[in-house]
Amino acid sequence: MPTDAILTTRDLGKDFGDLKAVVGLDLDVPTGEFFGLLGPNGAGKTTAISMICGVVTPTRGTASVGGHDIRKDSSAARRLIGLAPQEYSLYEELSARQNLTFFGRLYGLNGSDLQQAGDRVLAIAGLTDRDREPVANFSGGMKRRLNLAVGLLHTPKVLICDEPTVGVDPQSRVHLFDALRELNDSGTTILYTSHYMEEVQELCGRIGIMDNGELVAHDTLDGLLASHGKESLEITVEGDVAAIAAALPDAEVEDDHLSLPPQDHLGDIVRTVEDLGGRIKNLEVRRSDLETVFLNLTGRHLRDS
Amino acid sequence: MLLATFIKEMQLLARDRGGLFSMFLLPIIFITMFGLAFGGMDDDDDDQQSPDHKKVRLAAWYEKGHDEPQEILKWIRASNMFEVVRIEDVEELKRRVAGKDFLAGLVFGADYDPKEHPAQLFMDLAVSDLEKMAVLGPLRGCFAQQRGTKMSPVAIDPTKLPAPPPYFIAESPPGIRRPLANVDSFQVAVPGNSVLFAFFLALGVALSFHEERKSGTWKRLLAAPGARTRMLVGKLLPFLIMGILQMAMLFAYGHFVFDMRVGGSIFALGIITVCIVFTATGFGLLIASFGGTEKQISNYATILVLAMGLVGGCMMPRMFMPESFKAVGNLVPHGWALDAYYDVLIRDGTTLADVATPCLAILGFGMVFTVLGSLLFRFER
Repeated sequence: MPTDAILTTRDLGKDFGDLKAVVGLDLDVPTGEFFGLLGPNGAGKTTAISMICGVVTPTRGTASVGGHDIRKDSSAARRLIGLAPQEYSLYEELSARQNLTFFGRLYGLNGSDLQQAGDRVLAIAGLTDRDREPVANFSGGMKRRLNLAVGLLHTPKVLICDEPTVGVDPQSRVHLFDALRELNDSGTTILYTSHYMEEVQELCGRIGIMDNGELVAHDTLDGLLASHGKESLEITVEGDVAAIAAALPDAEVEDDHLSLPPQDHLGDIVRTVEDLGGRIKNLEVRRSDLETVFLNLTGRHLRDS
Repeated sequence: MLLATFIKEMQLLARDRGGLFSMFLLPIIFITMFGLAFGGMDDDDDDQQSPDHKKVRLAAWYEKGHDEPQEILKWIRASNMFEVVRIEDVEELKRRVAGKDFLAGLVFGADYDPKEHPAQLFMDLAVSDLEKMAVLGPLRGCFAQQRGTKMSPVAIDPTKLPAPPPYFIAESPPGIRRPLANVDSFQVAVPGNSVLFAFFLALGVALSFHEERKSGTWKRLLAAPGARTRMLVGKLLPFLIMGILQMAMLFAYGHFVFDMRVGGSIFALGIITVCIVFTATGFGLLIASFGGTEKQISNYATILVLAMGLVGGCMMPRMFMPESFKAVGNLVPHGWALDAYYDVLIRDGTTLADVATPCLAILGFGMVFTVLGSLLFRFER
């Protein structure tokens, strides 16, 4: 385990009846890291962070935050974590300030400390002028920002954001990204889950990919691309596609589209197609990105759970 | 955590206009409608009086061959206010007075003497003063008239008149069946509807937990430092307080707007109220522990609350129910609560001690609901 890891899990697991939602999660997140957790629906991301936050009791394994075990020393561990759940998680009937006051009190904030903390996070969320309004009047983006603000009230060491940009407009998303970058720059460790590859690619220093409850890979973006990415030659042809595909080694066919491993001699391919009476309509070399890596690791079948 | 949760719940309750309407205004409408609809129900509720001239039925026992009691009973009969029936056995006399066959019963011992060994009068002394005086006054008059005929004219010198003897000592017989004489309709409508609506609090409790889970705030609560039990208490406490306020307001409404009489102790009334609201809150926790969708919670809880209210006599007092069905009311806290409320409202001088048994029964229900609810409640669902 790295000595500077603020968040550590060992063999962390959760079963819901026969379903193994998370299996043997081993993770070390160093202080100050922006760690992204990717995975298809039902991969176990939310269950994993719920265990770390103390919302769900693990079936097995351990996790610690700032050296505090989440089971044996749960209050101390939870005090170090700020949570921005996937749902808005706000009392819509109450104003933004009343929400902040309530949640702040849960973390022991009172009086002027609570007022100042509220002012600070309202400024981060860009909601200073709207603090007296009921949350029910807020747009989706405003609620998302307030959702994040609540998680920041007690100045947590570790901020856990579970899909924080679902349903927000581009302006709010950019605002959230800026706020998260600033927080990370000032030393807050961030654990970020999302479905959006570009977000994780843009924000996170290291990325973990979960599938079927397991952490199937975790590394920097470059590391993931190097170890799990691949390049391919994509060709769209006219003519007898089946005959052309049969003549090209390792070709994968979909309609008039052929996918081939990288080739050193493109001229051979062009000649083969023309010899068979065909014509190349389009040819490109596709480089791997995070999405390719993600799909390589988790497959292409639909996840409806 | 407890205080913060408490304040937040109070803020949420205060902003829930629909909830406040159901909690405070709806029962007021029900009380008013029920009270007015059943108005005058006490007019013909006087089965202890003889249909013949509305005479008071009086049981009497004396040793056969004992002359003086017979002489007194002649005067009592002659007053034309009492229908006197001789009973063969003292214990039977007490039973029949307790069982409402007679309003009162006179027992003359073998050594009857108006000064030294007065007669015993058995009657329900927890009725109103007016009712008591309607029996005690005429009886004393008859005793005095009978005694006056025995005095010599010299003795009737007003300056030398001795203090009158007690003639009889009045006491309540054991096993009174708690008659509901002189009930005004609001003494039935107010507790009936108050208890019924107090249990709708359970629906509010269960839905409040559901709303927390649905909105995701439950996750935040679980993720916050502090014991989960304190969070639970913090959530339930405001409902307890709001329930007590609701009941207090409804009883005050009945008393000040419709002149509903409170014959017994206000303190006892308060204790019954605390017991029933505690039980309703515990019932809410029990419903919440089963989970389900909003629709399921609303449907099942409403059906349960209405069924319990019906069986317990909230909508139709148990005194109007067939004997066989009355006992079923004791299977729900509503029945016990209404018995206790009727005692305190209707029977003068009822104290906490008089309603201790129903209070303990209600608390028993409350403890069972709360303990079961706590055991079955799943924080992580």
